Amino acid sequence: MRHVMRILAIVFAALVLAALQSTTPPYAMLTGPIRTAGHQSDTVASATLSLAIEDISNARTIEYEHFGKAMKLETSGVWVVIDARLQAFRQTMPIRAATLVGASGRCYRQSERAAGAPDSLAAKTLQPGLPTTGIFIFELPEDETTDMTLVVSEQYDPQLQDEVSVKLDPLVAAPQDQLDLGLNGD
Amino acid sequence: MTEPDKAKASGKWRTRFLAAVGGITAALLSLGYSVSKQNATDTVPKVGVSTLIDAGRWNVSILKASSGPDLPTGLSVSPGLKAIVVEMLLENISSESSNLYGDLVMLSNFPDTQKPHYYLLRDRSILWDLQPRMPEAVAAVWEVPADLELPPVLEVRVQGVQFKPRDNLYAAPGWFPHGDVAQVSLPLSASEPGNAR
Amino acid sequence: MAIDREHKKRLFALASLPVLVVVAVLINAARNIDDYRHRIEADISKSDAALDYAGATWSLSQIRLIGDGRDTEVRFPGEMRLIIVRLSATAIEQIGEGWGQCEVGLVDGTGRRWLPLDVVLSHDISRDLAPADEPLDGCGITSLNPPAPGATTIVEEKFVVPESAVASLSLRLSVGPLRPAAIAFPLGLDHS
Repeated sequence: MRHVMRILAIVFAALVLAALQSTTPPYAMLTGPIRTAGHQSDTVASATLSLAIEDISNARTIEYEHFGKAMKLETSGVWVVIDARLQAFRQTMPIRAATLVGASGRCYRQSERAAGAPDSLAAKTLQPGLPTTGIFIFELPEDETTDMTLVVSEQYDPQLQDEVSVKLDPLVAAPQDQLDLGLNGD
Repeated sequence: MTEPDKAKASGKWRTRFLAAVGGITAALLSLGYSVSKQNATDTVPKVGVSTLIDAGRWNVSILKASSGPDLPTGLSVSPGLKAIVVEMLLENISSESSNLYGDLVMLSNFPDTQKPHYYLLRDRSILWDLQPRMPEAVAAVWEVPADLELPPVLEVRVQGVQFKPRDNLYAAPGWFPHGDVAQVSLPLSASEPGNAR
Repeated sequence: MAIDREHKKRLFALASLPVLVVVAVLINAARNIDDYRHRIEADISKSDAALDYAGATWSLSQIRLIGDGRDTEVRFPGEMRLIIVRLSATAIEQIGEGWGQCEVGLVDGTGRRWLPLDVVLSHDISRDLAPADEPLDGCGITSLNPPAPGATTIVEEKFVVPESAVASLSLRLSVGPLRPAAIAFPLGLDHS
């Protein structure tokens, strides 16, 4: 009888430990981003920053001038250019991370190919009290553009920092052949 | 000796015997494991030129190789150096943009072990992120001394990575090295100066 | 009896486990709190004149407000203003690495905080404003070569702030080894 009780106790302890282990929240989740979500028509604001979409355009080719050099960037998919208005509430912060989550759920980071484009928000720094406008540029396959969410944060993979996301309305216009983004660095 | 003492002594011997057996078994197992691993690395599948290779995070087809003084940007390498350019079609098949292709290919019949620089042929510029589901023609470039004798056929090894939904440290999803997945024998042609354009 | 003593030892070892766990958690928590205190500025000395801090006497030596057309002709769009602050620091003792991880910021009455412009942009502006002069370094670079005892150095930082916050701004400075202690100087720019 004592033996049986002992075995039962061990089995029970093993079950409890297994349950504890399988339900432990992973560290990456505990220290993950603090998310705020909204729709394209809203200004989505967290405690430290806000994001409002002003315009979205899409194109097969984007063109701009970078320090006197004409740049013409083509893509096998489409370019999506988002005009946004950002504001920091508490402290000076750069916005290094912008991602479009496409229709398939895949994450498309803002294109480094177009990093030199004029008015790029990636090159700006937000100062409290001074709302900042500019563009984010993405490159993605056309079938991803039917359902997109823009996700913005200070850095990629934020930990215990704000991450603001905006669900975008479906694009109605077919992509333009060319989109001229103007001059940069005169 | 009394009876309990005898029992104790024989128990001691049994313990030592079991420990010895355990130790030897462990040594044999680890030896066998490393031998089998050695064999495994020698049996990397040989894959033809322009064949699609599944490297986990990447789908890659190795296309051609050349050596010469020009970089894919159209500029020349520094004096005293030449460039080995391996062109390939590279697709990111993971769920997010990535620039972690640095360990994807290496030259196994070549003393130079540094990582290559990658260029995006579409823009003739340095390659940054590759976006998911958007294959691009890219070039991996090794810069080597100009007087170095090059083999006529490059052996290109493609290294795979494997997705783990939870890593051991942070229980976070991630990609981890998974050994060589393919080897491609690639004839090396010499490109003339100015041909990169 | 031998068996009894063995038993007691084991019980003691088992009973000490919870105690050890608690002690380990407490030590870890104390370390984390200490780390956190070294990153925040909680103990602030405020002055309109000079303050002794980190082996030097600090005071504001120059404040410029640019963008409304008064200091220079430049007018910035909307609320945007540029503030250039020069701090003078006279070393009273050997500083060594005492200025490491120096942080400077402008803070307004509601706790908003503006960080300095980066080095490249800051030097570009300096050259635009005074092409003949060598741009002054900020606190971070100066901390690598602090002044010798008795010597004075000028630290310059630039900030972009909204016009509406200008009146309530004060400059705050702290160094890694002394945080959470920090010093603050009200800019006194409210005579508009």
